Amino acid sequence: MTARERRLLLAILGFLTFSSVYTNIVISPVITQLAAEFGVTTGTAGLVAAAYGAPGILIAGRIRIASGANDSSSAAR
Amino acid sequence: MIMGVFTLLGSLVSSFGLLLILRACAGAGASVIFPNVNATLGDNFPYRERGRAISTVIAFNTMASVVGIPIAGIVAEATSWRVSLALVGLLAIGAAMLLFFQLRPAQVHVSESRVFELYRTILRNRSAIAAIISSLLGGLYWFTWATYLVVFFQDRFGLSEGAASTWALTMGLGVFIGSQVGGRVGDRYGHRPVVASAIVVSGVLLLVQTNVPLPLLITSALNLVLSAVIGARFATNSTLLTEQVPEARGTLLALSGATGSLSIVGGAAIGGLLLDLYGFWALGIFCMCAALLSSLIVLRFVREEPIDLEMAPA
Repeated sequence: MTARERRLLLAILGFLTFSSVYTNIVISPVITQLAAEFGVTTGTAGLVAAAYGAPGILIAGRIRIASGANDSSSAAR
Repeated sequence: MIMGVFTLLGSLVSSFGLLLILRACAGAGASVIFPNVNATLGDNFPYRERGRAISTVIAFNTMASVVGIPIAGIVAEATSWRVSLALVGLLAIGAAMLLFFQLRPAQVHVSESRVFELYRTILRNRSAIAAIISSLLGGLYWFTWATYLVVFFQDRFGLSEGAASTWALTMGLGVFIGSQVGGRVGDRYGHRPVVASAIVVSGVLLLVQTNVPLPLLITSALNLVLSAVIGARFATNSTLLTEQVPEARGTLLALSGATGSLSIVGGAAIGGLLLDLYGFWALGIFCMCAALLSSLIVLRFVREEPIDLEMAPA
């Protein structure tokens, strides 16, 4: 991979993680609006943030099973 | 794409239950991103360049907190939370399309027995398990606070969503600064002491912020500092984790990703409960307890062995 391709890769991965984190934190500023609109408490509205993390408890661990990259062979890199 | 589409759909719902389900679907898509980004970096950047590459990616995603929270808050105040959510959904769809057209997927096959062997290797390593538990507690500390940060500014100072979100950018800014400095400090003085001390310092500052009535400016400054200190921990903790079981690094990072998700769920749920029952003072005490426990586990059980440095090519 050339230096230019690596820079492009970094930019793409950076943008991807940016959008992933943004999708997560977007709930924080709107919690009170959610609580007001749906008639729930602030704490209950916070469950919208919790719901976003829930699938990752199982999926994040399993995705490595499908790949396996970065284990053993790349440990010495 | 899943993350973006379901986030976009979430902006259209009329029931709270459906919003929860759609956010969970969006989270399912998001959960595969970080493990795969880490693996892609590991596959395409040699060890000596990997640290800088990881720092660049961390810089990108912490910028999401710096600019994302204020923009989402201001847009929500000017229009509705639905518009904020829809814009973020569209952004994620854009990122997915860029990825689809620019990167080709690589196929790596690993036998099931090999996978279980990697998990066994990690589970037999007391230091690695301690590092994962400590990370879980650290995540719990952080997400309990970060989820309700804007609500804290609204509640404590009577600010509007937009104004509270703007003050809350001190969090993203602090994490950004801390994460860039933390790695270098850890390289110099050892990652374990930084991981153990940063979370306690940050916890004490958070305890003060949530339990002592302070003016808005001082509270924001305090929030900036506590975020910078914990940001330093983010970078050093990742390094410490990758040093634990080098032969099963990917699997360890995957487990760490799973505990990260668990801490988002636990943090948001526990924080919400404490907020509804008692208020922010209780949230601060809970965070301090999680921080202390996380630090004690690191100091007592986690070893720091820079194996990679010895194995890296000259």
